[in-house]
Amino acid sequence: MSAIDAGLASRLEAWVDSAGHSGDDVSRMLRAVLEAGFTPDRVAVTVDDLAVGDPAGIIEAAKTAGVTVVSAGAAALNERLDSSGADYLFVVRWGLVMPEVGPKAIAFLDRHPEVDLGYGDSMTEDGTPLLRPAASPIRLRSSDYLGPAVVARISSLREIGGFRPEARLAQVLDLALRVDEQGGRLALIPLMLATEDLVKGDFAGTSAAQRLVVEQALARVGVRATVDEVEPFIRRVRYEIIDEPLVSIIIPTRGSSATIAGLPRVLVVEAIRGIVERSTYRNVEFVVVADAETPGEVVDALKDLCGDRLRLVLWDAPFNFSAKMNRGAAAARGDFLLLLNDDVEVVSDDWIESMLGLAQQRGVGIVGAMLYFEDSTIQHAGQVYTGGVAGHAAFGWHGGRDDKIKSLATAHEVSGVTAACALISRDLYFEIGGFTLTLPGNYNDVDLNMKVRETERTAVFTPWARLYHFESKSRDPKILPSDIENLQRRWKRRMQVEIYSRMMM
Amino acid sequence: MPVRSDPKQTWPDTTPGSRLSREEQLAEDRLALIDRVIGLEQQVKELRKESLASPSEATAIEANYAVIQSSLSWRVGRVALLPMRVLRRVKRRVLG
Repeated sequence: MSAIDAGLASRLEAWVDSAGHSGDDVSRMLRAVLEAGFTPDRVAVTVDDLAVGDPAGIIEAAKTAGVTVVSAGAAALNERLDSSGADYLFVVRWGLVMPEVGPKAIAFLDRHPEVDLGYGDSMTEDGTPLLRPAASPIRLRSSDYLGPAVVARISSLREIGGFRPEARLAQVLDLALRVDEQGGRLALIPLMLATEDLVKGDFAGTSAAQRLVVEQALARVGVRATVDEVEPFIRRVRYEIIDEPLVSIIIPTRGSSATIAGLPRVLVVEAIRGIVERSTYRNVEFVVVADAETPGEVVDALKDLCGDRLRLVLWDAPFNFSAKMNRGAAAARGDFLLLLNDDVEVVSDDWIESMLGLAQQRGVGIVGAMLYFEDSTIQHAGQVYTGGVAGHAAFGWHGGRDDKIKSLATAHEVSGVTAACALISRDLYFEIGGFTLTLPGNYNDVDLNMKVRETERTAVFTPWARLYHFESKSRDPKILPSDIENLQRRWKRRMQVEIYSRMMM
Repeated sequence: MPVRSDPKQTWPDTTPGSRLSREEQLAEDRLALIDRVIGLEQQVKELRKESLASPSEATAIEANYAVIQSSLSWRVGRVALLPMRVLRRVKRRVLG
């Protein structure tokens, strides 16, 4: 029995994208679509002669299924779009749609009329879930994470001008980028919409086509950047820094020492030495908020290292991380504040450029970095919020491990970033009141991120800014009940479900 | 209010700029004030009835809830608590 009734079926249209597929693949994809209740007169196979190795097989598959073949050229697609009487267009790019894909997706879109384009979760044929992130425009530039089945409101597609000839072989990514660009809304439908085979190569130059549409999208919004392919389908976007603003690196310290790699070191001195010696971004000042008990020789070493780029600010009150950072921010002169712990060491020389380029993008509020423990396992790749509490994504993962959508090779939106290393504009920091003094030791960065997100800006993580963070893996953060209460009093209902790093928890 | 320095403890009294200027102190105060206002606004928001979840979050929460409700432990719990639910309903009817 069909999963949908005739009334619902009349609102749906499905296009099976044959790029890179054999006739047998297309046949299976079509069968799944028809079994899901789509009617053959509202199903088409799109064929691009650049991307088809087996055109006869694909045409035969379409004929057997009783569906139309449409050229994947923009003109033909737009003609089909214009003549469609349906409300929603499903584009199936690979994999097999679930039998209930129609009702699930339509229930979501009918309930949320503000959403223009949706995409969902999928699973491999052996049942491994592939959980996609919430709408992530920055990630979209690095990776088309939208998955095998994408559904769009046909009226929205018409509004943005339909398909473009310049987006050949990357039409879905292009649509998603343009929907976002024009103020439309993308949304994750966090339900299983398809099964898919994970083995996927760069068929028919699709990866190069994706890179091209990303470059075009950046040019349209006036963003100067270079787009490098890290691996097929994964890109690193290097944003050109606008106006080379002064960055104030704010470091709270008490001048303490620790043994790292078997050698004793004064943490703040070595952290700053690493920045001075390695960072390629030069327009920085150091705002060190130092406890009264900081040894005099540490103060002298900082003065020697930083010269006139140092602003040393006294902290002689009881411990309060939030208040120390706020004091540093009040003393800072930079347009951007780089919040930094003293127990870090820079790994990537262009870490500030990587973070700053993202922080200057529209809609981005705060940017975080990839932090490693001393043993090179991951300490932080963004924060995850669930059940009203917070943790770190990919915590303890070994080098080389990644999730199925290559999150650790792409800059992407996250629930939050740790204040051990975070970049935020001074204006935004002051707009949201900086760190809350109600959370002196723990969760103050979670609160900061939530305040940033409340302004409709995003928190973004970049794997291209890398630092060691010499925090013990077994550190007991001594979270007090009052910390949790104070955090949850403000944000509990909005921290119930992790929606970005869903495969890194 | 912001945490104030204790002027009795001073390692770097001779270091220029080790204490905030008047203007910087005002900026520090402003941060604390803005945070208090935002904090109160958010607390009020948390207490309101309407959903604060985005479309994706709302669907994810509902899906999680559906999984919990279809679990064996949920159903066993429901059965175990059945007498209590019946008693509560009876009590409500009797006492109005």
